[in-house]
This record gives sequence, structure tokens and C-alpha cells, in this order.
Amino acid sequence: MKRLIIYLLLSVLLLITHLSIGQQMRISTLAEKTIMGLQVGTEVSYRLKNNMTFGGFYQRNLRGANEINNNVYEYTGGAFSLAIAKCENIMINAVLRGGLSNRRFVIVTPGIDTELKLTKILSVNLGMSIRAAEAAVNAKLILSL
Amino acid sequence: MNRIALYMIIFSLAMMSCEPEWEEPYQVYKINKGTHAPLVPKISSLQSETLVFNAVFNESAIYQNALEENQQDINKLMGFADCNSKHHDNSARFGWRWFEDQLEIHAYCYVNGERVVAYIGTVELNEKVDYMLNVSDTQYTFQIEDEAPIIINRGDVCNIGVYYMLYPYFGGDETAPHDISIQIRLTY
Repeated sequence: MKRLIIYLLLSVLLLITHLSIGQQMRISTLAEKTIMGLQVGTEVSYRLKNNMTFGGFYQRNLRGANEINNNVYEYTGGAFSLAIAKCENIMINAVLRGGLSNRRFVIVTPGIDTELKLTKILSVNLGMSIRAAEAAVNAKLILSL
Repeated sequence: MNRIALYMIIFSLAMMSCEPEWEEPYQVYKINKGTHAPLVPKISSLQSETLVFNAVFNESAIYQNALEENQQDINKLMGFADCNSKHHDNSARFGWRWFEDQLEIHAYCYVNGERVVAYIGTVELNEKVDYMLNVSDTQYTFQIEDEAPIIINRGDVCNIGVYYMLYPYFGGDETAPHDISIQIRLTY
């Protein structure tokens, strides 16, 4: 019962923020090819009316995807993105992600991505970033709530 | 019909063959004559507890310092500054020097501002050598190839923070007497 009340309160809070300041909650699944191998994860974010997005993410190696030494690199933290160009259903964003690698090492990964809005609630996102001084490419499937 | 079957078998075998293992290329760090470090600095930070890389020295690693006593100075290969510290306060790096006609590899650390150096072993020129540097809560562990690991205690530093990477540096006091090239490939 207590849990239900918390969920209800959170839902109401989300609804109020959505209606009052035009925020849009987004849930994404992501895959990123980095120098440490293929990583997959999820991201929860808010997009404001001015197309500024902020949120949190978690990603890690697929077990066995790192062929060289099977090390697992967890990366968790916050993400901020800002639209730098927009044309109909396509938006180009400058992205800054930062957080902890393996729950200990503070890292920052700047990047740029292109978002294509497929439907009102579904978008795909292709991007590039710099991880450990090397290029990384990523893809995201975004569900807007 | 038989030919089609043969093509299908060949195609199936080709599809089943192993994907060639992708190896990251070596990066060449060139220290020009009269300088300490490569011209373009690289900025990165440590991503996990273990730094693993492969390095190859060539004949350019044979050098003679202008002052005899500087021949004992240790050049830096690769490592990192410890948690939120400057590298002259707390850091761990592999060091190298051309000394008594061989290429020596050392552990080169700063622990609470004190320099700590320990000999690890020697390596051959033009040979790929694996280097491993691990940081735990209390110590650094250095190892090359199958040599015995060298353990150095860490200073009083945090655990969660920025560990910025440190790249090749010549010196010591003196700059490189000629161009020196070191090939390094980080392994994740």
C-alpha cells in the first residue's frame, strides 16, 4: 500500500511538471561501441521546452563482448544535451555525459548526436562521442512518455 | 544442381568461419630532440582499476645523456595520477631508462609527495612487452610480462575521483638527445 501511494505521488508529480512547464520524460535503450567493447544500457531523461535534455544513464559491457580480456566497464552518471540545430523531425544535439566508470573513476564523455523522430512517441538517435580519448559510436531508441 | 550445392556449401563454410580478431593499432609517441614530451598532449583518464598496455621500444631508446649522472634518471612511460591528486603528489607510472647497455623498466610513484622507485626488470628492443598496473584501495601493483609483481603502497588519497592519465615523458633534467619513438597500445 505504501509503495502504491509513492508510485501515485510520483505519477502525479510527473504529470504536474509535464503540464506546467512542458517537460517530457524519455526512456531510452542504448548501445555504444567503445574502445572497451560494446556496451548496452538505459537512460531516463527529461526534455524541456527549449530542447534542453538532462537525465541519468547506466551502461555496461555485454558479457563476452570484450574479446580481449573480458573486463567489464560499468558507466553510470548524468547526461546533458542541447539542441544545436533542428529541421522538421531531425535534431542535432551537443551532448555531455559524465559519471563514474566502475563506480570509482570520474570520467566525462563529450559527444554529438542526431535524433530522428519516427512517431510522436518514438525516436532513434545516432551519435558519436569521445571515450578514453578514442571515438565511440552509439545508437539509442527513445520512448517519449 | 551439384554446382549449386557446392556453392552453397562453400558459402555456408565462409559464413561459419571465424571473424578475424580486431586489434587496435599501436600509437606512436614521438619525443622530438630537445623536448620532454610529444608535441600534442593527450588528455584522458583512467577507466578501471587496471591499466594494461603493450609497448615496443626501438633503437631510438638508446641514448647518452650530456651529464653522466643524468643517465640514472628515469624517463616515464605511462601511468596515472591518483585520485584527485597532482602527479607530483600521488601517482603511479612505469618508468624506463637506457642504463648499462640495457633498457630497464621501473615502477615510478609519488606517494604523499615522496618519490618511490623500484626496479622491475629489463626488456628487449623491438619486442612487444605487456605492462600491467593495478590500483587497489591500498597499493599499486606493477608487472611486466611474467616478471614478479612489484607492490608499492598508496598514499592517503580518496578512492572515487579523477585519475588522469600520464603519457611518455623524457627526463629527468635533460631533454631528449635525439628523436625517441615509443609504440604503445592500450588494452581494455
